[in-house]
Amino acid sequence: MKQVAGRLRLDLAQYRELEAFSQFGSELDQATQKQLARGERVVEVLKQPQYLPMPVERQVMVIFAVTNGYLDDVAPEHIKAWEQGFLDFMVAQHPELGQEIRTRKVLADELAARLRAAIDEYKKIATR
Amino acid sequence: MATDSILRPGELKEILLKEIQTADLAELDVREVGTVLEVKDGIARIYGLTSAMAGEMLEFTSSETSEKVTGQALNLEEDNIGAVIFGDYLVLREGDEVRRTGRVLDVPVGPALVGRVVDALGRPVDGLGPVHTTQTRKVDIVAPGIIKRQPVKEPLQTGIKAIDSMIPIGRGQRELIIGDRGTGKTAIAIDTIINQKGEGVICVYVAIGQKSSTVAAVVERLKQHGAMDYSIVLVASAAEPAPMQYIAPFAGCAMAEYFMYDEKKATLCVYDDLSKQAAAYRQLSLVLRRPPGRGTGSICTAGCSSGRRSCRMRWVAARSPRSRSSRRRRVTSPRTSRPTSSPSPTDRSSSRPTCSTRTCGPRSTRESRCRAWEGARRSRR
Repeated sequence: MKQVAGRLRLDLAQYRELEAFSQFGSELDQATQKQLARGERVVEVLKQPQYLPMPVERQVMVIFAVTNGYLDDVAPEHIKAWEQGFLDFMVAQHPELGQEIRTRKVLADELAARLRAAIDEYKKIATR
Repeated sequence: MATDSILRPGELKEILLKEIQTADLAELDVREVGTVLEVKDGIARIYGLTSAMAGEMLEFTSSETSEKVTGQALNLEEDNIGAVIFGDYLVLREGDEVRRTGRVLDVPVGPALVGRVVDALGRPVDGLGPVHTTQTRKVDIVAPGIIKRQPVKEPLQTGIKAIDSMIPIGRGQRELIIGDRGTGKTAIAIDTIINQKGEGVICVYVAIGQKSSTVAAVVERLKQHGAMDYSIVLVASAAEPAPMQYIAPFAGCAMAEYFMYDEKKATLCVYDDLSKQAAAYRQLSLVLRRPPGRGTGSICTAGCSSGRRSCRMRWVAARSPRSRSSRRRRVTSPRTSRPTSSPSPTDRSSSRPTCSTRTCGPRSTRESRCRAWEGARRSRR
């Protein structure tokens, strides 16, 4: 969790800063726009309904996806549906990944690579 | 003539000895008894009971209804003692009898309380019959020192993405939840309790000064999510006297401590909300004629003591092969899971407190001012 969350905090902090700043002018370079878009998606991912706490391995998978840019091409209003679909997909197709994140507590390179592959796989299905 | 009726010392001694020898002392009930001087606003002044301990439980007997009411000696003065009354003080009258119990205030604890809704003295209020437990724990104990604690190193999962990822809560930690009304302080606490399902964490939800209907809604919500299977709800509603609201966090803490110390389990204790408790304590202090802003009359003294008890103990090794000779829980803060292996009850217990309070700005500054003042006073000496 610590590994994936470090980046999340940074993304969010930069987003807040740029958001305030960007209100003054609309001429933004590409890097800035990218950061704004990322921040918007991070905020979207962090939303969740009341009385529906999320197990830690699911949190890790979703946050991993957003901080690694896998959600940059998904429109913010579709993120909720994407997240739900993604988690269902992971439970159905790769239940062992969630298990391992839970028991090992550390996202090793090899585990991260498998997670990346799974996200790619889902994205292919989702965009179809 | 007159001299005939005077007893001679020798005779007197014989009679007394005979009396003493034949008396059956076992049948006598020898106890120290005091009388009520005055009763007001949940406080009684008592004459007698000169050997009562500070914090001792007292038993009042109403002369009107012969009802028994529990109280606690708080102020020990030269010629009387000030005691708070837990329960209906309106049945007590001047001259009523008060007895010592010889025990410092304690509450029933144990696994039988899990799934129940109780009041601040551990009496069930959910209509499911009596709680069958023989164990009790003192309500007010000294928090463990630093040597006995483990560092905070294991998270308590709240199940809320924003909290777990950016501001995680550790077992053995306390966490203050502050915010304006209606911003979701209670929601965070309830979500966290729900998320402890299957994690082996015992949750204690202490509702202080809330409407009974609000508490009933929370209990209903917990039941819906199956969270009452590992939770205790302690209610000191707004309708209850100030003394009950004042001891509620301590009582809840004692119930959680049973699981932490005796069963080595992780616990989560939520106090909702502490500003109501502070108001109740201030009221008590005023009626007891203690200055409400200083020393024992101040909520700074009382408030800190329940939060400090949150900790993860360093259990002495050799209790179980797996024991890592340490551990740590929260309450005031609170929450969840250890992500890995199923928790082994033997190797850790954590207790964490959470509290939510309505207004915190003024309180925290007051607290720090208090601390600064204490420090200054000490250095002056």
